[in-house]
Amino acid sequence: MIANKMNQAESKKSGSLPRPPPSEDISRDDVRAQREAKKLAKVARKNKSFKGKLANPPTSTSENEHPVVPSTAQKSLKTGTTSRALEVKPAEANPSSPSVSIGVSADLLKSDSASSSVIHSLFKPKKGKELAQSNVSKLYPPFYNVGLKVRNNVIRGANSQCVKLLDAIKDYVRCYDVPPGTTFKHGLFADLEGNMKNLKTVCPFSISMSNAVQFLLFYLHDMPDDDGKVIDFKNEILDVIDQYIVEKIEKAVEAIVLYGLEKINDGDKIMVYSITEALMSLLVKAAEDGISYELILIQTRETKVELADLLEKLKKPTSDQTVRVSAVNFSSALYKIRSCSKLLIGGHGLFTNGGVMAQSGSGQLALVADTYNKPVVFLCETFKFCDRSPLDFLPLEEYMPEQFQTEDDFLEPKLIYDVTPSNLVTVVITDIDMLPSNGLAATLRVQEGGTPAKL
Amino acid sequence: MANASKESQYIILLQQLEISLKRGRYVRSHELATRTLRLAEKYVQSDSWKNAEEVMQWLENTADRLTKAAVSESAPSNVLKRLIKTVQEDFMTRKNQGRMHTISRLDSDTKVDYSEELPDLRSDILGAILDLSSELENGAESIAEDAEKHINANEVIMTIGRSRTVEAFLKRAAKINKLEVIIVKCGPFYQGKDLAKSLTKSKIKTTLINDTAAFSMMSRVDKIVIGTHTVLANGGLKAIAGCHQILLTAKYFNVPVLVLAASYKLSPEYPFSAEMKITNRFVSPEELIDYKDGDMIDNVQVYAPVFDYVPPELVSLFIFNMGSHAPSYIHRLLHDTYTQT
Repeated sequence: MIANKMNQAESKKSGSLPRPPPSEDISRDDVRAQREAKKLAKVARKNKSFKGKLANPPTSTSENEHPVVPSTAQKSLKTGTTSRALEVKPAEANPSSPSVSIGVSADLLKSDSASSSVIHSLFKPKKGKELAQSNVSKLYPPFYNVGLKVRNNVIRGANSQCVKLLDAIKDYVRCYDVPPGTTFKHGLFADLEGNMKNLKTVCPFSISMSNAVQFLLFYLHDMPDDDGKVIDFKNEILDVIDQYIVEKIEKAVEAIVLYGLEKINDGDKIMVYSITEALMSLLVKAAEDGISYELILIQTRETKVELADLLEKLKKPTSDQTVRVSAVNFSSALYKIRSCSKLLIGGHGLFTNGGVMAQSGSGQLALVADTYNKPVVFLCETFKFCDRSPLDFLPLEEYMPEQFQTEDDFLEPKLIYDVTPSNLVTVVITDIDMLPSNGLAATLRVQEGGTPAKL
Repeated sequence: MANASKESQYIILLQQLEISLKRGRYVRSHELATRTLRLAEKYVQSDSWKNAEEVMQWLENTADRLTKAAVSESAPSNVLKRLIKTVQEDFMTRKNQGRMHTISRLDSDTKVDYSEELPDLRSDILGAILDLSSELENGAESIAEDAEKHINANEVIMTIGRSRTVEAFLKRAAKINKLEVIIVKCGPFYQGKDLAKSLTKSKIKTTLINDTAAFSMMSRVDKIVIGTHTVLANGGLKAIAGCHQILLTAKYFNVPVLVLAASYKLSPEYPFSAEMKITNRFVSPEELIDYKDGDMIDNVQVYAPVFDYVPPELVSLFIFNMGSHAPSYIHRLLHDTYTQT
């Protein structure tokens, strides 16, 4: 009867099928379990009145959790308590499963608290956008290669990510065999699109990558439908990709450097953050042209690689003392901001509302520089323009939810990018001109052909 | 015999304190304040002084000496300067004991002769030192008593680095209301993680973010509660590096800022410059750059200051253990705590 009472308690709470009564004799463990079940029911009732919902569908939220339900469904009461305490992670437990009820009262409380945390729920992976490895088999191996490297930050920087992806696409096109029953154009379009969709589940696409893929897909779409020689088509596409890389990336960087050189004068003290390829080239070219300036680097733990790269390229000018370099921790940027003349930030993307996306922390530095009335200059190529208007970092897909550590119950999110509002930005240097930060829409109206990716 | 040992006791304590300050073995301000107070107690118990004037002279000299030993630490000299005021007050109380009128104001124009020998002064001063030491011990708890007034249910609180006072404050508030805490771990020491572990043990939902992410998260924060190293005479703060820019962001998003400080952190010093090159500490940047990256930074000057100056307009409210005040009121607190010299 005690077992039945327990079942009732669980079913009252979970509303699912009652568990079959255990075959063991009624023991002290059972009594203890019954007491805990009552406590559990009380908590559940309190939750219902407090929140209006229980700690909810854990399917989308328990990213890190092992599949508790199937494995413990068979476990008996006695062993269930102890093993589950070791097994179930502090993240959401599954309250609707009847077998995971006893001894999980503590976990339920924890899961309840975790789910009602406003900040923690910000970082929960969105439904349907979880990054899974399930589609890997359908993915062309070089794509998977690139995807892994981007995900693990081996390929750093928007420009190199885009170039590596385009190289992989070229490889794909070269090896592409037209499937029977369809033309080259249609087949390639569908297969490439499918591959990219799968790749998006492996690694987050930066804006540069999305824009490049979009450009290629549009081009394919607009290609004439004739049944010419496949090899001609392939060469045409390879040429187009090469042209894109040269025009939009390499030449764009050179153009930015040309514009940017107007802004670096002798005796300037420049504070630098979010180092991208354009920024690096600008600083190196300025040093090579003999401009004597002082560089103030802002260090964070995450940007060691870029800083090392930059210092390597500036080795000659720094040792000749034409360019003096000092470095300061991010927290102490204020220590140096008064003596700076401007702040240079490399951008990863530009949005229609004028927001600029760059490495996490740029918003903070832009605010500090603005407070002390120093100009804030962003460097952004046009191929990184994006048709979105995020107000903060959350709609950006470029951070990886599942890499968040959740040791000891506290969340430690890794925010890689953030959005600087447009009123904090003085000017954005692009390859076509120097624009105010909300000049995106006007630029695209004037520019022909290129539409930014709608993501 | 006993007198000699008492005298040598306080001299030994003083030397130890001075050496540890000079060597840079910095500990928390709280411990420095306690050690200084014990030192003062030993001095007062000894026979090295005859009248109030000598005590005050010794206190002032020792305060100068300790400040010279470590310019960045103000806690020892704060405690000693506070004692100067206490001695003055005790002297006046004793002197006016026979008369019926109230304690004469210390800022009156009449010159008071402190070299008058009063027999019970010693026990008075020792009593005052005892009061001060119990105030030191219970500082964090008395500040935490205000927690329920300021923190409401389901609020998101942001804090910077690790402060024991803030820890006690938040734990106290969590007993009454559900709250969430975002901790910004700040260089160069990155102590935020320890605070996160401690808070989660008390069932507070915690998120630990990098100092680069503070701007992104600020729009979701309801209040900022921070501790500080020193409260300066103009109402500004000398807090850990990173505080100024985070509080600037708070101002941008209009988030109120509460600063918790015990009384020994209140200093009569004004900031000389915003960068505070004089009273700042610079530590090794090894948390950021490993030694093995040495050749990368061969020609690079690396700075790693520990403290930041925060101007008073970025602070909404101070909570001391003797009450809460706006930054504009600090001058009155100073007047009540320290003498005009």
